[in-house]
Amino acid sequence: MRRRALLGTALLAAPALAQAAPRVVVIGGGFGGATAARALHRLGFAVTLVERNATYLSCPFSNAVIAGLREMEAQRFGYEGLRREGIAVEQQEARAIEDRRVVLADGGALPFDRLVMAPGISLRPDAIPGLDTEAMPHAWRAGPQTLLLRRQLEAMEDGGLVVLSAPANPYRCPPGPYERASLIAHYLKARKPRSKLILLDEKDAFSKQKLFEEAWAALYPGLLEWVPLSSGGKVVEVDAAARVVRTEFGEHQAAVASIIPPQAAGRIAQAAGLTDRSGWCPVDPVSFESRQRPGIHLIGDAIIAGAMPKSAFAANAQARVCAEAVAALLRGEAPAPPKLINTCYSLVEPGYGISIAGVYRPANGLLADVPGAGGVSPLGAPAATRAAEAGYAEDWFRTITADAFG
Amino acid sequence: MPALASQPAGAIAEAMLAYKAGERSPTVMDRIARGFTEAEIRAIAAWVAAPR
Amino acid sequence: MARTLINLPRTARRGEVIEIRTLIQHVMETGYRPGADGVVVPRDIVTRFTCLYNNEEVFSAELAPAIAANPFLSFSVVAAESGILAFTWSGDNGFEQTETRSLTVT
Repeated sequence: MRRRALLGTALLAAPALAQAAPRVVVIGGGFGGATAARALHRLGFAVTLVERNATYLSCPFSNAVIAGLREMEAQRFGYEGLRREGIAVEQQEARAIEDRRVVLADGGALPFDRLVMAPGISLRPDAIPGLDTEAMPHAWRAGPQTLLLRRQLEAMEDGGLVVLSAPANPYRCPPGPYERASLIAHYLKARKPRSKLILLDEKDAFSKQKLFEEAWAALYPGLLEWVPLSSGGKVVEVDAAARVVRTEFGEHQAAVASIIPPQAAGRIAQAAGLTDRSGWCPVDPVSFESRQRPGIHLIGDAIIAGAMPKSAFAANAQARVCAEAVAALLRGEAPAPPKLINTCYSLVEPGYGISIAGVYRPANGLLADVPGAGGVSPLGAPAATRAAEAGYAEDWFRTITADAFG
Repeated sequence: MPALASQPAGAIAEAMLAYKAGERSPTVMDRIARGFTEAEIRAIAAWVAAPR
Repeated sequence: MARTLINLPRTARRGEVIEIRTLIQHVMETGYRPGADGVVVPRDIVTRFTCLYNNEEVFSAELAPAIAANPFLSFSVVAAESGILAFTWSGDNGFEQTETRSLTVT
């Protein structure tokens, strides 16, 4: 983040850019894509954002919607802010990426000098035999699935078993399944106290684990049970109609089940040949340019980012760095090696927040932790610390959504 | 959290350096500040404080 | 006692091929990894797994340092007759643990 130096050169170069008018297209209007479009526009480019939906629904804080603590409309953001600034927003699907042009669903094409893609994730429910996401919602993209899971919980009788599952790494929002388990447990404790929640995990360790476990022991003893991989936590198949979830070593009769399937980069990235065998997109950690197709940059959940997690904050940070790198490359200069930040808050109940932060830099072709930096909230902290972090989480949400969507 | 924009660069840099040294009550900022050199912190402060 | 997980059907038809899954919670310390003090942590792994079906060995496996913690093994046997399946994990530092399950064949 050597912004002073980068910004200085960008401002000097602006008149030259205006004459040459390089065209930059951004695909995907989530936290990464919207931030990138605004940053590129500020750097003086003619920017077109391609996004199939009229509005964006934020995944951060959507677990609170599932638990009835927040309304869906608080998650919705539009693109009027971007349009007002002079960014062209094409509301349709990108169909294909040809040589230096994006082909749109209506048959039109957008030529570009550089393309930035923030395609997010695709879900792979087929990886779990029997899974029907209407019967067992993943709710891993904010939208109808979020509200479906909320309605299923509301309709459940007291005494029912809620089964959640968390996939193996990597996946979108590493602490998300544990925040979801916490907030659903909070709902059950208040509304359906004879119910239980079991979280089946395909891992033996997870983000902010000690903090979550400390909170669960204090808030939800006997209500919330975490089953790690080594205790038989891997889901191998489900019977969606009967609401049965089977692991390698047993089965659970759920009243409500939310199964989060394995994931890969968004479909357009796969179709454009930007993914490797892992299903995710390898990129250069300085420029975020694809290692498969030059001239195309990728940011956000779809990329292989090394130590950096798949989060809204990470996508926002990558978008800013990527925009500066695109500007440098279009000037014929080498982009400066960046430092990036991620911070992620989770709520374990209203007014009880915990966080993890990290600082990252390019190393050995990936993004690596800056030694000595980052870490999680203290264990055993007083309630005032937890309440302050819950407040910071709200502040963070207001700041990042304003930064991405205007 | 207090808004950073419109605060003078010197004050932002001193606050960040105090977080880095563990001299201010910790939030996430101490964990983040430790990832940057003093020169980087001063550059960030100047950028944040600059009118846009 | 290490925690083990064993999954097999309680009953099977004669001649049916049944799948058995086992997992034991074990660190599988390789013997190559330096600890926090820089000293190499001594090897501590499960080296052998056997399954006896009415005292006859029907499956065995040799385990090596490259195998991950909490080794998971899945294998098939033919349900020949009712009886006892005995699962034994043995390894470094005199480690040995046996668990049994009964199978009814109809």
